[in-house]
Amino acid sequence: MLSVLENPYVLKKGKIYRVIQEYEGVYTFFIEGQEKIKPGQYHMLYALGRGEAPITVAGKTKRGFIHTIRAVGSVTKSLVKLEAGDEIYYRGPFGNTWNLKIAYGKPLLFISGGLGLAANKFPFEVALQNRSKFSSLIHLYGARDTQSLLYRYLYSKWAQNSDFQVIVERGETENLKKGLVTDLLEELTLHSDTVVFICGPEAMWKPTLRILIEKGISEERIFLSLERHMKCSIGTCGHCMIGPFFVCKDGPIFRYDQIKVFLEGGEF
Amino acid sequence: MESFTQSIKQRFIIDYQGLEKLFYILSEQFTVIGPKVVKELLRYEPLKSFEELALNCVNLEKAGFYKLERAEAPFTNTRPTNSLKDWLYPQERIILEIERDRESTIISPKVPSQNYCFFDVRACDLTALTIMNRALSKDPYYQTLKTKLFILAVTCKYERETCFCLATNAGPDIKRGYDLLLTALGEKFLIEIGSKRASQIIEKLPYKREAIPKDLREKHKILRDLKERLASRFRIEKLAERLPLCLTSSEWEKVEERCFACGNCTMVCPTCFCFDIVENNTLLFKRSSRVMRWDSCFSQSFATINRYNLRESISSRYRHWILHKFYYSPLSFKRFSCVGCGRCITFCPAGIDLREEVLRVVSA
Repeated sequence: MLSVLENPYVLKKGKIYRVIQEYEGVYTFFIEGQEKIKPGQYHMLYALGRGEAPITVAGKTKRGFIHTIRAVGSVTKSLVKLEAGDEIYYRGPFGNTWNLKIAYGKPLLFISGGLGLAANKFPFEVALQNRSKFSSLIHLYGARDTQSLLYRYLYSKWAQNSDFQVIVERGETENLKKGLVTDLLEELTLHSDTVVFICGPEAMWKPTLRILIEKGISEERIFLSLERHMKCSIGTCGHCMIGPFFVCKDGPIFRYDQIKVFLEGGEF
Repeated sequence: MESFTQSIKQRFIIDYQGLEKLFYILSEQFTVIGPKVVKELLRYEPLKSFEELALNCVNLEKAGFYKLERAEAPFTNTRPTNSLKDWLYPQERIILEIERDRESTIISPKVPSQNYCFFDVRACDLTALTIMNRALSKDPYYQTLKTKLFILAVTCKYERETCFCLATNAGPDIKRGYDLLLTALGEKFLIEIGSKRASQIIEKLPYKREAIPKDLREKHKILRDLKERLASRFRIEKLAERLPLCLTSSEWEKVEERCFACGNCTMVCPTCFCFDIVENNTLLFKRSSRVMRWDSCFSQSFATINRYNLRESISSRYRHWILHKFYYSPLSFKRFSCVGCGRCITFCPAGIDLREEVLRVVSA
């Protein structure tokens, strides 16, 4: 039988209804759209003539979904120029989701570094809405300096229902703690049942994992969101591979023990 | 197709004249792609006439070496230099076109309309197709072409120094996946039927007789001898079990000095499917084509995010390529995605032989 598959590269059209500048070069876009998106999933956002970039969904609203974009490459530099009222083209959502259920009845710990907070925001907000399902809810967030803090307008709301801690590495601290997110982690007393969701740069998750293991958290309870070069997002182009996994479809979230050998082996 | 092969077992003998007739019957229905001599290379190309089909030639190959010579007997050659992915999965093609005028519009490309007949497909390339079918299962272009394919497979009589299909379980026996299977028995050809439509085509052939047990014995002897020679050339015992234990072996690093990371191996590989998607836009950014283009895991940019290359060293790229073939693919596809065609060995400008590299790593 001859069956014609759908073209997986066809783009959808969304409309931006609000833009917030988080800090220099980093913007949060509110986009209209009613599709089902799970925490941890991402969209391929398209900039005409530039290409696509995988961007995590940083939350849902009544009208649609949120993306926080840092202008770093040609695609994202073009995307951040969009304004409220503009159309935006995208594909998705793609990827797997954070396993919040595994933490039901247990302490749940989020650890975010820099822009990694954008990826942890959505599952964290879902956890906040279902606060009673977790025995405790902690979120540690480390940023470079106070100028590069994301979502400052949400901290007081988040802190009402969870232990949300912020630390900045350098510069004026504005009454915040000074240091690295790992310093906050060192101070915590963790129950061995704790489930941990990590998203941040490699320089952050490497020492973070070491401390978690030292504190007695087993590798099967630690989940990481990975960043990789992605082109097709449907598990064929090969760019995002780490070991046998296609980060675009098998990830971006992985249980630590499942990717440890490739993550720590170097250049896999 | 598989059950059909087992149920009817129709076998015929045709001669040179019959083969020519068969070619033209297929040409009426299909665009016939087969081995043709182009610039002293044997290549899969569209064939306009039976004379263009390269029958009496022999490709001499070893690491970093290729030479084509005339042969006395037909089908003395092995597979061509390029692979069938050239035709099902072209090097470059538009996957989407976007126009921006007053209203933004998106134009999807048309699905391909070609009906291909692959004439003279060897065991390695036939196995490669089954791997590509799965790797590109979501590619509408590939899948549309694939469903219409007609395959005339050919049993290899001889092997080259670079051949190792037996070690990767891709040949030399051809048991399924063909419409017609041809085995050259001297000056005559044994034809085995593998599909109903092939059966209808063979009915149209005036020059044929039914095969007798002696013909089949002749075919089995060819295969038995070939297997013996292949087995003596190269073997990898328990590679699937041994390789995962050598992931971080320092033996991998020894290829760093020799490999240029040119990507030739991935281009000629019949199962390398990695691609890039690039933008091709007009000067005023009013129209853009999204182009799918073959990429290679050996390229500098392949695993680079924000200027940070996750596989900076060339040896790590080489390791990724080998592991993808012999370790990662078996995890998802249940078989090596190397078919032992040896193209990567022949066309490596540094003459790197992946068999030697793999053996060294697992033997250390």
